Amino acid sequence: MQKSAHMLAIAVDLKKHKERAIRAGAIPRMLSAATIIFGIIFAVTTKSYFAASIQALIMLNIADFAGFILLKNKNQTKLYADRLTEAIMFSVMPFPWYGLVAINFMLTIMKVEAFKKVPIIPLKLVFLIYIIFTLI
Amino acid sequence: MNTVSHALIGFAASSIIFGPEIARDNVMPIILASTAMDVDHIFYFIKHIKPVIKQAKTGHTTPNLQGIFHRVHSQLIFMLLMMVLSFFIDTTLVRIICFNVFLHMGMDALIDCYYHAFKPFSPNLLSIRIFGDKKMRIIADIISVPVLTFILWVI
Repeated sequence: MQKSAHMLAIAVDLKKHKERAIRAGAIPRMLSAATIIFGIIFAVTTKSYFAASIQALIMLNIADFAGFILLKNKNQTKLYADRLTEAIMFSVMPFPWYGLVAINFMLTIMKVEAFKKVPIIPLKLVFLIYIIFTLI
Repeated sequence: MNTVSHALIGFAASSIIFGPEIARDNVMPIILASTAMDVDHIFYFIKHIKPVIKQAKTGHTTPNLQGIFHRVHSQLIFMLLMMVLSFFIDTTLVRIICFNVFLHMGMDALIDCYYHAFKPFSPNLLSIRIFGDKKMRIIADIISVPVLTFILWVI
């Protein structure tokens, strides 16, 4: 009886701990979700609805900027979401972007693995600048 | 997310991006690209059949369910492979395959509970859980198939 009560106490404590952990990561989760969703919107609208894709790209850059300020580029969930978003966005683009996405994947692995200060190419910002120059 | 939903989402998104005719012509590459990444679940299913049945009832998934194809280093290798292939085969086909594979990864990252994306390099568990942990995830999984089928039928 005593043993089962003790086990129950451990289980309740673990549940509380898990809930706390979920609440603690709300901002990175929201930013990561927004990044992936806007990335999919960008990829889907880029050929048919150019204005919508530009808006999605701007929103992506805003989410990146918010992540830079709030998370200081240390959150692994956001890092992974960024790489996936870039891969989704640029998979419908021609060759050079594929290479840049692959380089960013490598840099991310290096950043996570050992060298914390490895810079990652801000591909979404680069693409926004490229689009602006193309339009001008 | 279940494999059928991945295939349906992949086909719907590809029809919007590349046009319905190209999507219909490349239906097999689309289905293969959007479902082949789930092959790595099979090894886990074979080894742990009882916990898998329990997880299906409760809605919890284990991070060990997602195997080698759902990790960053596999995605890097895949991206490099696609880059090389784009010089030799039709670029539209390469784009379709690449888009569907990464759309699969994106949907998994959005919906699944926990995953070890950086596993050999970092043991950290990543999670976004857009539909939460249990009930909403199961409901979304069940509803997604008829809803997506209806959308595709309308398109």
